[in-house]
Amino acid sequence: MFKKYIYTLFLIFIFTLFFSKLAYAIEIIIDKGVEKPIPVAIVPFGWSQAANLPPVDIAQVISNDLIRSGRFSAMEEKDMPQRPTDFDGVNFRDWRLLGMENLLIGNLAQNNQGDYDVEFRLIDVYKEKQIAGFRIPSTQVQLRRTAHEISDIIYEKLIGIRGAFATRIVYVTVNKNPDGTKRFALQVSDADGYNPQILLESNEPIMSPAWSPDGRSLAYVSFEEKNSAVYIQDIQSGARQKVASNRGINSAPGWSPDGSRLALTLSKDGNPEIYIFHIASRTLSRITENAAIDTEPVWSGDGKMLAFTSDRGGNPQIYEVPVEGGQPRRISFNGTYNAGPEYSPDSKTIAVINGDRGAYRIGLLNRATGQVTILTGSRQDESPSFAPNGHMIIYTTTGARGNALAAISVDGSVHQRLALQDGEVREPAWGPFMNR
Amino acid sequence: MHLSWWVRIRSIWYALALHVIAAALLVFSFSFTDIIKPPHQDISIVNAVTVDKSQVDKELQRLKQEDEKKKLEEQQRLDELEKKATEEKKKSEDLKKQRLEEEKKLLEAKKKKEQEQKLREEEQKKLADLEKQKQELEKQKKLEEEKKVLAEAEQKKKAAELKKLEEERKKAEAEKALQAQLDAEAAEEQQQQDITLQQKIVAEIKSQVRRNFNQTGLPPGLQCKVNIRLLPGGDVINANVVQSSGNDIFDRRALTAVQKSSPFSSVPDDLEIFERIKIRDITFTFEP
Amino acid sequence: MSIRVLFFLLLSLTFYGCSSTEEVQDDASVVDQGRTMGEETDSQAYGAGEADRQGMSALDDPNSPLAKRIIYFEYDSSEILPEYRATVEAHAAYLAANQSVVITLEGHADERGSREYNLALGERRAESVSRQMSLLGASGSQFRVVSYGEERPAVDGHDDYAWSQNRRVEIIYR
Repeated sequence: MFKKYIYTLFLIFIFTLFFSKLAYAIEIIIDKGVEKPIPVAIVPFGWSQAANLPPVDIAQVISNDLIRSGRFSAMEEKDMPQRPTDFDGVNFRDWRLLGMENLLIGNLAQNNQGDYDVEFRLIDVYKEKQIAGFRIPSTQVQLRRTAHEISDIIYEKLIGIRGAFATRIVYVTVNKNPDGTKRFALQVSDADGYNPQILLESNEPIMSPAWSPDGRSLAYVSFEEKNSAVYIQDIQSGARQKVASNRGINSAPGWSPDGSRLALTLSKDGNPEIYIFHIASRTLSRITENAAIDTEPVWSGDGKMLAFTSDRGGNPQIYEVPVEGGQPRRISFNGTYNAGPEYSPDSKTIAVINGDRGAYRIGLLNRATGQVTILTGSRQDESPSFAPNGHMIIYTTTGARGNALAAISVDGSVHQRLALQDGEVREPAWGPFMNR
Repeated sequence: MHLSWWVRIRSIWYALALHVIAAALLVFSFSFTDIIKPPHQDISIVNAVTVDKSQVDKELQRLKQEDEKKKLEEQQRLDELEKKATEEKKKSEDLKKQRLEEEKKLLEAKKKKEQEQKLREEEQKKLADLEKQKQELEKQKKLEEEKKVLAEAEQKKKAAELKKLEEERKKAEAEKALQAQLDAEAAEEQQQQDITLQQKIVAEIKSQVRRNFNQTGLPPGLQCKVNIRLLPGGDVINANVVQSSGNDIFDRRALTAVQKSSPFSSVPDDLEIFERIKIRDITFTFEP
Repeated sequence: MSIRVLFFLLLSLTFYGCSSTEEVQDDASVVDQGRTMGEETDSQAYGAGEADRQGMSALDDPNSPLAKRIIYFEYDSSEILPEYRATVEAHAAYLAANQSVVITLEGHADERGSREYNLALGERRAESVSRQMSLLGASGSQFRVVSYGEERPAVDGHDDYAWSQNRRVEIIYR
């Protein structure tokens, strides 16, 4: 019996050896995956003072960040099989059974000076290895920001690029006064909408906020003098200077990458034209000269080009012109309406408002090919602004239900509606990376 | 009556003949002794046991004469008697003669009958003997034949056995060859089935890994290879990145995709099937 | 649905028509209006005299053409439609007759599309009215042109009606 078994095995062996179409080492090509949120569990941080509540629920801040990005699914605390605060306490098997891929554990401790130490580890559950681990000293005021910085690290370690959670956004809110008139406010907040700070309030419209490259100042348009005027305001001190308040429109400030200049739209000479305002010298140089509307100038990342909207061809399209001036070149051709250009951080694409048969959507204009890829699907989407990592675009969407902030990933895979606060929120602009 | 007389006379004759034979035997025995013995032998020595020949002869002569005399006398008397009888008989001779002849005839017939009987018996006996002999012969022949048959049978049997052995050997060889062929065919058929099964399992593994390969945020144009060892039942052991994409996150996603797919539910538990379909060693190439 | 599509198609056609001829139209209108300037000036002068006689009261008369102070526009257009010509002429005549009067022309746009572009569009509409009134005898110094773009809608809303009410130039006397 055994002999026969051996014989059979031998035969099979011979056959498989000589005639086998059965591959010995199987090769499987995975040519396609899925686009779905990455599972991550942010375990509540250990806290040194059991008697008091920690000043900030760091894990919650991080979870919300990651969920808001659309690229992560953060496990709810009640679903967690355990709440380890150190590496040795992690029961990997339990987490794997739940399909959990990544784990963040950490501790918050107050030191003798009253400040805090935030220590954390990001762990690969399947490899059972630490991906990253840091200790970040933090004041109480900085704790939320520290949490956002941890989110940034998680994002970078799991997605591959720097997260944009520890950034700020600026936007204009519109609320009704008791008498029915409108109240405009220019506000800056953390990227998650926390810590809003009003920089300017007015019964006249406020428009077009733009971040200085260092994130310290904002340029904007205010109608407080019954006409549009461009201002630059220091966020920290609130000090501001009027940049342009000529006859006609004074609008659309766009910072040069080095922060030394502002591109503006002025119609002081009878028609909206593109100018460059040199902040230090307060001098203007005119870039365009055309009977049509030229507006919304923005600087390319290398500081060499300006993109703007012009209807010189009959309807609004995107043009590019060298900053030193020259013949503008039309770069958008898809549809009858392309406006509101915004260079991506790598300047390879330009976000635009693409109007087509009555619908206005956010599109991505490929500078090399001229093709516009439509990212959103509503009828009235406006004011695109790139996150500094280029992964997301924040914009406004208006429909029958009113206006809302929304964000979409540049690959179109993630779409989020953001509810920052009550009232109408306009013209969000995502601030740059901020180093401590 | 006449018969007893006749019988008496014959017995006398028998007695006489017996005497004569005995005497003759005696004579001849002494003669032999004499011949062997040398002639000058002392008489006294033999005195006790030997008879003087001449005396014996004389005695024998005398006995003979006496006998002959008696015989003569008896003859005379018989003749006389006969004469008388003949005379007496002569009177009823015809009747007597007739009767005698009849008797004689009867006797002869009887005798003939007896003789025939005897002949017949002898014949019968002879026949029986012959028969017996024949039977004996036949029996022997039969025996011999049987023996021969037996021997032949034995020989035949031996040959048959040899032949049978040979046949069995041949048959076994043929069976073996057939079995080998069948095994080969079975193996081939099995292999076809195995290929189909392997392909099916590979397809399922592929779709499972694809479902778990999360591309979110990954840059395009990367490739890495992950090698795994499987256990029957589909549990993954020894998952390793054997060729890195150069992008740590890409590699980790690929590895996670494979590990998260463990166990591959389509992989058979049965060790023999598992071994046959060569599913133990798999290399994944991730190139989205 | 199809009606809506048709509507937008018509809109776009109108838009196409306007924009493709716009530059020519600008020149044409200059020539055209230059040729008719004499006649217009007459009527302007006449109107101005009338205004002088009536004083400021004409502005308060609800039956006066001057009571109409909003000019509406088509989508992405700054062309003054014929039905508003009388209104423009009336205000132009009044301004010509009252050289000390300064008005503000407030250009507006509906909310669709880029805010900055709409700001420029509002200005273009106001400039279009201003130019027309100048051609009709008003002095350039009598206008203050302001654009609010889509920032000050007359009607809050996100439908065709709201939009049609918001594409406008308001004539404001101070």
